[in-house]
Parts: sequence; C-alpha cells; structure tokens
Amino acid sequence: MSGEEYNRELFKETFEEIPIPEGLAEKVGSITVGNTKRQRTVMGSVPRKVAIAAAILVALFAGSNGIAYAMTGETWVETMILRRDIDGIEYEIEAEKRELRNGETVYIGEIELENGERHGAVEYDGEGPYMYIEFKDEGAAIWSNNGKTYIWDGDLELDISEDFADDGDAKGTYVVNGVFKRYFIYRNEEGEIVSSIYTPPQALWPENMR
Amino acid sequence: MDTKEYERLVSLYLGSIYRVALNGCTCSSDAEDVVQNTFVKLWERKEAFPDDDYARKWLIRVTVNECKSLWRTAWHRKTTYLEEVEREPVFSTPEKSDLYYAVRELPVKYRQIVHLYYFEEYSVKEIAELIKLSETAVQTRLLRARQKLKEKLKEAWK
Repeated sequence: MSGEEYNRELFKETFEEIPIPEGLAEKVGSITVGNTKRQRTVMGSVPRKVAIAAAILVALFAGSNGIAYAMTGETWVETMILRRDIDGIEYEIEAEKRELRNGETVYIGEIELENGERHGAVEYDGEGPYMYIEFKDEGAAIWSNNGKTYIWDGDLELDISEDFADDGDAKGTYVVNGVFKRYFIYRNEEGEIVSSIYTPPQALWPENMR
Repeated sequence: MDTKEYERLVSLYLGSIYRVALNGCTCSSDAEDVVQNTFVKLWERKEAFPDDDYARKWLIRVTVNECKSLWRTAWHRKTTYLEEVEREPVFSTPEKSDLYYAVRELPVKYRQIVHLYYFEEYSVKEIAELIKLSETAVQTRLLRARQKLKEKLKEAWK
C-alpha cells in the first residue's frame, strides 16, 4: 500500500467513525411534512469546549460611501458601497443593511482578496470612522472548560479566567507574534455571550510597540 | 421532489453531507444547521437528478455554499452560547483520534479540500469545480494541508 493509499484509508476510517448527531435525521426527515424552517441546534450539557470568537481587523474606513437600494429576493435592501485599500488594491465592498436582534443596524458585506486566498466579512455601523474586516482564517478562539476561560490564538493559550469582573464581563489585551490585540466578552440583554478579539490600528497600540 | 426519493437521498447521503459540513464549519451545531439548510434546498428542488453521483455532487456543492453563507453573517461568529457544548467524538484508535484533531486544527479552507479529496475521493479538478476555485489554488491548498498534517502527525501521516 502506498503512502497516499494508507493516508486515504486512515482518513476514511477516521471520519466514518464520527456519528451523525442524535436527532439530526429526524430534523431532516421532518422537512417533508412542511417543516422547512431550520431548527437551531442547541447542544446539551457536557463540558463546554469551544466558544467561537471573532478575530476582527479594524480597518480605517477609506473612501466615500454611497447608499443604494438593491432588490434581493422579494424585498428591497439598503446597501452601501464601502471602499478599502489593501496592499495597493482598492476593493469595493457592497454591504447590506441588517437589523440585529438588539435593535442596532449594521452593514454587512464580503471581501475576497484578488489572489482568492483570503475571504472575509465586513461590518460597518454606517457612521463611524472604522469598518471591521474579519478574515476567515485569522480566527482566534475563546473557550471555557472546567470553570476556566482561555483565548487560543495561534500557538498562544492565555488563561483569562481572572479577567472577569463581577458582572461577568471581561476585557483585556495581549500580544501574539508581535501583534497587539484587544478582546472583550460580555453578556447582552438576551443573555447571549458576545466575544470579540481584534487588532486596533497601530496608532492605538502601546507606544513601545508602534 | 417526491417524499420517497427525498428519503432515499437522505438515507444515502446524510452522513456524507454532515461530514462535509463539519469540515466547513467551526463547530458541530453550525454543521447541523448547514445540513438542515442543504436538505431544505433538496426538498424544494423541482428537477430530478440524472443519477446518484450527480445528486451527491449537487448536495456537496450546496453544503459548501451554505457553509460560506454562514460566514456571510459576520455577527454570527461573535455571538455564542456558553451553555452550548462541542461533543467530541470517541475513536477506536489513538491514530484516528490524532488525525481527527490534526484535521480540525487546519484552517477551514484546507480542511474542506482535504475532506473532499481523501474522504469523498474527488480529484483536484472536481474539487475546483465544486468549490469554484482554480485547480492551481486547490492543488496549493492540498499541498499545504498535507505538509501541516505531516508536521503534526509525523510518521502517522505518510
């Protein structure tokens, strides 16, 4: 057996051992009886492993905005054209206005760099000087287990359990691979945990790191 | 699509589609959502498939797109429920467990391609068509993914 054949066999056997989650077949089966509304998956009560956080690059907002309205499906959606220069290439990002559950409105768009290697989401509040670009593969993770909360970012594992205030919020800074980052975690009015990790513009880094 | 054909395709491909989704998402609850969305689209499809292989490719393409759609909602990744949990699968051998976690640590863009190549046995050309990338980009990602797996797994990855 060649190396590649061995790898393929091991890969197939490994992923064949992953069970289909309990209840998924029923949810998919119920689609035929008119249940085409997706049932959000809520998990059980075994120890928590991973909570996803956003690694947000904060980009200085550049260029002009133009609000437009686009027909998408059956409704008119307000859109805004955002412009951002990355590595000397100007990208135009068409962002759709969305209303979040907390009542805030944001503009959401996508950006794909010309080499096709990086694909990101863009978020802009419609007013401020910054838009946020989150590239898919730069995600750091905040996770909690056994009462401890950690940030994983590349090779860094940072215990932030002590950073939580009495109200359950946490915020702080750290440096990974020479890059200064901020994070915050809070519980919103609906009781959801919201967490973000982002790199502020260099002007906002500590003086010794600029 | 009629119920009988829908149920036949679900029984044939649910496992396969869940695994593709799992490798295109950051957690299993997202993967379950993607699977449901994919099968809603299957149910709503009017035209019959010429054969099962075509149906499998169609389902995988929809799954890949649904994973990307999940990504489009930027705030999705910022909101999570700490009471949600990630169930970790249990494997029959340490080698399989090591491989699973090594694959899970790959960036999604590599993970999806590795899965389609090794598990679904698609060629580089077919993967390029499925995920709308150039063959060169697929080849490059596959190469990098293999290197990363080799670094992690040493002798256990040939």
